[in-house]
Amino acid sequence: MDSSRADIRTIHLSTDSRLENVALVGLAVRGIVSGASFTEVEIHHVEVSVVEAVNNAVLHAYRGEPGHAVEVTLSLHPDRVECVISDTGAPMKGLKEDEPDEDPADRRNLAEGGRGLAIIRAAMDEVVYGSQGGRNVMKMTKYKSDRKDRVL
Amino acid sequence: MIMEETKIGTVLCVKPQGPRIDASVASDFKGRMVDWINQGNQRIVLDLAEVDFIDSSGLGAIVSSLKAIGSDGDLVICNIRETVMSLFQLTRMHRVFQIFQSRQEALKALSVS
Repeated sequence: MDSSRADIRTIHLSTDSRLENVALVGLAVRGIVSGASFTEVEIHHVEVSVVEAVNNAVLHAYRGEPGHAVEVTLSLHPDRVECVISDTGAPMKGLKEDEPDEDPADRRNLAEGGRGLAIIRAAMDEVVYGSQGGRNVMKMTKYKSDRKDRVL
Repeated sequence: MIMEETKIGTVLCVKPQGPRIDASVASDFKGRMVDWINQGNQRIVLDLAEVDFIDSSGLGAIVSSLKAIGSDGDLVICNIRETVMSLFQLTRMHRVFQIFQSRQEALKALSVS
């Protein structure tokens, strides 16, 4: 538990459930995390993970229908960033997803989609998803690579 | 999205002006690529110099383009940024696509294949 709440900076974003808005969220996340001494690749991992989560909310929770809110909260801690993406649409069945077992040499059977959750799980250090009271919440955490007490 | 196309011999170079190939443009991107492939372009260099972000939808559209070419040709990638490359590595797509440092190297590889 953080001993000093003053070390945590939080920002809330809200966007309408339109795919054309998702880039704005991504750019905002990129800008915010860029000021927190993460590496370029770490920043990118956070951005792509938030984008994938927001895409999921737009396309699956809200079934592509505009007019619904997707909420994003970023909390910058000294050693990590926590991202919470929430919606009030249809819940996911969970984070478990069969990652395509692909043979790089077998072009015909390459999956053309379905990599979003796998990207989030690979890019972020912790990912939790749950639904309660009609609200679906995905929380993801990325630790800075120079975190001294990080358990490897 | 704006995509610059250049034909060099039998190779088509496609350079999305980007900067994002994401869910909002992936369908358009895939449609344009499939049109070029259906016009007979079987060797394609995808130059990502102007692209700084690809999500799973964009990646899926690139994979779809590779599948559309089939075994008679190839789609290779060049000028990929470190951050975009990290997505290919996270998804192991760096094992599927040939990725070159420069357009020149990509053209050379496709011209001799």
